[in-house]
Amino acid sequence: MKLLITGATGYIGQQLTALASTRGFDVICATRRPCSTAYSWVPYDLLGPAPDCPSGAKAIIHLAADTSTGAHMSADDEVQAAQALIQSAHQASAKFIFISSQTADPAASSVYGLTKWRIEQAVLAAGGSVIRPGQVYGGPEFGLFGVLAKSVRQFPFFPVFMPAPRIQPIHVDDLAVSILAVVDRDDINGEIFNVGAVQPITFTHFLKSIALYRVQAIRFPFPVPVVLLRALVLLLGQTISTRLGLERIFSLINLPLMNTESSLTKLGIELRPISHGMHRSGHGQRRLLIQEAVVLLSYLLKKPARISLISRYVRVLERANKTCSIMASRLLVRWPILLTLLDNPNILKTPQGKELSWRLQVALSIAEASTQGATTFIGTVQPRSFACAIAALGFTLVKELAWHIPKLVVRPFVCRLFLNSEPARDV
Amino acid sequence: MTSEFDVIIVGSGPAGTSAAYPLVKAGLKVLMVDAQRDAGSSAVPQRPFLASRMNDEHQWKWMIGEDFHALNQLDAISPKLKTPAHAHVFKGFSAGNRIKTDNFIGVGSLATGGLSNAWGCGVARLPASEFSSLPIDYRELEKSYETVSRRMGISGQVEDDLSSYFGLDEWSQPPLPLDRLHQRLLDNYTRQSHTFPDLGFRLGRSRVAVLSQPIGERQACDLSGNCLWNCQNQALYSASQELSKLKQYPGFRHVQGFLVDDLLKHDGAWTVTDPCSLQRYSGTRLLLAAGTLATTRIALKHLNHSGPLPLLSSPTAAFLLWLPKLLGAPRVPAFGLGQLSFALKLTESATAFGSTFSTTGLPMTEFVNRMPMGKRYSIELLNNLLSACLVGNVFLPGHLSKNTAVLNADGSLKISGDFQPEVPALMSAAEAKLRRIYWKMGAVLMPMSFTCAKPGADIHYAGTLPMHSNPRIGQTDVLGQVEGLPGVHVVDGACLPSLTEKSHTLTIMANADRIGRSLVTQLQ
Repeated sequence: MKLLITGATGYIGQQLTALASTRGFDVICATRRPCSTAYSWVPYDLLGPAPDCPSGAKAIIHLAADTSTGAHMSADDEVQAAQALIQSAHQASAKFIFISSQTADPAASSVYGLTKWRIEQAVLAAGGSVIRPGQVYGGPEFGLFGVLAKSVRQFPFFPVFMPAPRIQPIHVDDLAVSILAVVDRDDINGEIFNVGAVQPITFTHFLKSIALYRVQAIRFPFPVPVVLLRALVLLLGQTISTRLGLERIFSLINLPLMNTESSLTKLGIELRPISHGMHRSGHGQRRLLIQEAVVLLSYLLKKPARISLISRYVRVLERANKTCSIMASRLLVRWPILLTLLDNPNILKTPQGKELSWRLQVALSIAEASTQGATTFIGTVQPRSFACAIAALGFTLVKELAWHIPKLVVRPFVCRLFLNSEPARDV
Repeated sequence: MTSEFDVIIVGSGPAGTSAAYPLVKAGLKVLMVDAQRDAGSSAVPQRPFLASRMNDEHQWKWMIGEDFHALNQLDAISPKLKTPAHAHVFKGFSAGNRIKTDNFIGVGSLATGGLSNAWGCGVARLPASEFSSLPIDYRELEKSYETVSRRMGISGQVEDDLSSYFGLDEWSQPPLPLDRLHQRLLDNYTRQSHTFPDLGFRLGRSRVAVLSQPIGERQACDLSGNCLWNCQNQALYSASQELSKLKQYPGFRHVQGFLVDDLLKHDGAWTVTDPCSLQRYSGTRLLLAAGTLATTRIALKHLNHSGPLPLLSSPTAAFLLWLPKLLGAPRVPAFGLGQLSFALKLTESATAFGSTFSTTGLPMTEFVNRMPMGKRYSIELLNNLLSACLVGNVFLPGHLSKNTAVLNADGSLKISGDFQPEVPALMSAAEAKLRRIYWKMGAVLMPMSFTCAKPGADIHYAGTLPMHSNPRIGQTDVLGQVEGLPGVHVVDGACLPSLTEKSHTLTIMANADRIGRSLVTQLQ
């Protein structure tokens, strides 16, 4: 079965072609530059004529778009290109699937959103399907996600727009699965599918997730009032603002929320949690659990735990069907001693702390039942002088008392700082 | 239908095996059933505890279990309930016997050997006065005490202040060596022995069913410290050790995996049934030794008696003692069960009994969780402190409990736990007195360490179907025969008329032996 994909070498295109070919599709890439030799290639430019759709093709998937900020081509050109493709699909009696945007709207603030909407209308009129993805992320660092990931990697700060825009992320692989679901379904005609997280998250949360799970670095929030940005646009004028990418920020801020639940249900798609999707592998669970094990065990043992203990911890959690880590901070990974801030009854008794309390118990038992733990827990089998023992006890007490001050200071927000409330939200 | 067996014994624990001996010795046909379906974990320490902890890379297999047993029991009251080697002892009891609890810790066993697979080995004899209300010849009971004591092997024989309290020395082996901490406590006690009688306090060696000299295939304790994990010498008594000996008698048969659910009376014979097995067995007499809770349910179900019965248990507490002078003492191999015991008179009617234990063979996790500080520093603190510490427990007499057992309409047994109103005050008094007394012996009862447990945590259950000279429904006669069920005898803790603060296992065994001997004369 053949699939003709425009923009197949782009961010979404690469993931889609790879998935489609593993699913047994014969992929034809319609792109400007030659694609990987693993697929067939037909030269195609949005400004040129539409390629001939081979007979027996199942569908044309239209991903190509002019994303350059400069005025490379006009909106009308893009709409015309789409119409030509629709025509081509029609002649080969193939499906037509257009990957649109969450910004598509007749009253969109950006040209980009308006163009998408116009193409949508043409697609729907011809009985094709439209997929509107939310913020696409994960996989290789291309597209807007690539820009964001690179800037989080580069700068110690990340902007917190106030008020914070809300987005509905979707992992690029989940989007590819959604597209192929539409390809496979013969009962779908002339419909719009909204795909993205059902519960929107703030853009700040999204950037934080990039820092935490992708870049794995500590990044500090930097507040940016939206009012200031608007003032900047007025000051610089429309053209310069567009060139600086400010227009893109505004399309983010003005993003209409989508109802994605019914589309996802209809297509039978379950989105992965963002904490997993942000990882390069796209599946962060086990890795995060390992990280959690490292933190808990080295907190208790006061030295890096052996690999056997770490894998034992992960096995216990996976057996208990707890596949998500609850730790949400790189700080803890770097300094497991910071867990002291959380390890007190006031926090462990809270609903959020209870899970941590159980995991600490598990780590405690695993740490003790090892030769490594034996020395830490049982103590010396050699006699020590009385004075030495007293001094050691006193020193421990001093350390415990010293931690009371930071414990008190961070208590109101320590859970939010270190613990992940996300598994609950994803469910 | 004729009965295949003279006697069927339900349960293979201390009570069942003790009742079986006189019967099989007299040549009677005896069937013993228990509900053990799978054996315990094979992962046990191969070397003494400290050496295993330092060197055994696979220690997690016997400390936590390959199926992570210990982590599924994090809330269990006692480390015994978490040990993988004991998992099969407690497994499935409440569900199998349909025991439901409310504010009560209900523990029992379906395993061969019953709860004695995981007991503290505490033994004591009750004086004649405890049986004064019953027409029982105390000499008969005394004979039974001697028989079972010699059979199981008891150590701790020494002339001390508790000799008369335990009353077992004439049948016992010498005591096991004390560790340094206990030796110091005992020395300090002896040095100031004049001050303690006024405080109502007596200290002495614990009398325990642990060998200090070998008996048969069982070796003497070598202080390897694996009491909690699995004694490779079999120095600790367990009723499961009796089965191979009982099987040498031609009339004895043992069937495992048979969970008695109901009794049927048919042509003068009693038949036991198991819902999961097509097999059924019948006998002229039926001895219930399934453990107090299970026995009570079986008897009540067949009586169809739904009135509440009192269930005795000993209110209990635990505490931590610190001997500051011994700070820095190295960890050394030590016996892991009670080393020194005490009797403390609280009021005219209430004496507290308790023992102290070495902390070495215990998982430190137990202590870390009780510390009022973060786990990292708790571990660091205990690492330096615990080698100079002992743990202790306290038991109060059973009349201070206020538990009830009721048969539900669906056939399950509901246990509701409670204490008599004076218990909190008595426990506080015990704590204050013990603090003062141990201080005199150079030990600090650690602040905040004295912890009272929930009803039933002692696992000393007794007295639901007490023996009585004129039994009513819900009671038994002096041979444990259930009123209303002629031919059915209760021989475990359920038929004890009272529960003192002392360990009651030996008394259950002696009473079962006495009933067994009496039945021999009836059946022959």
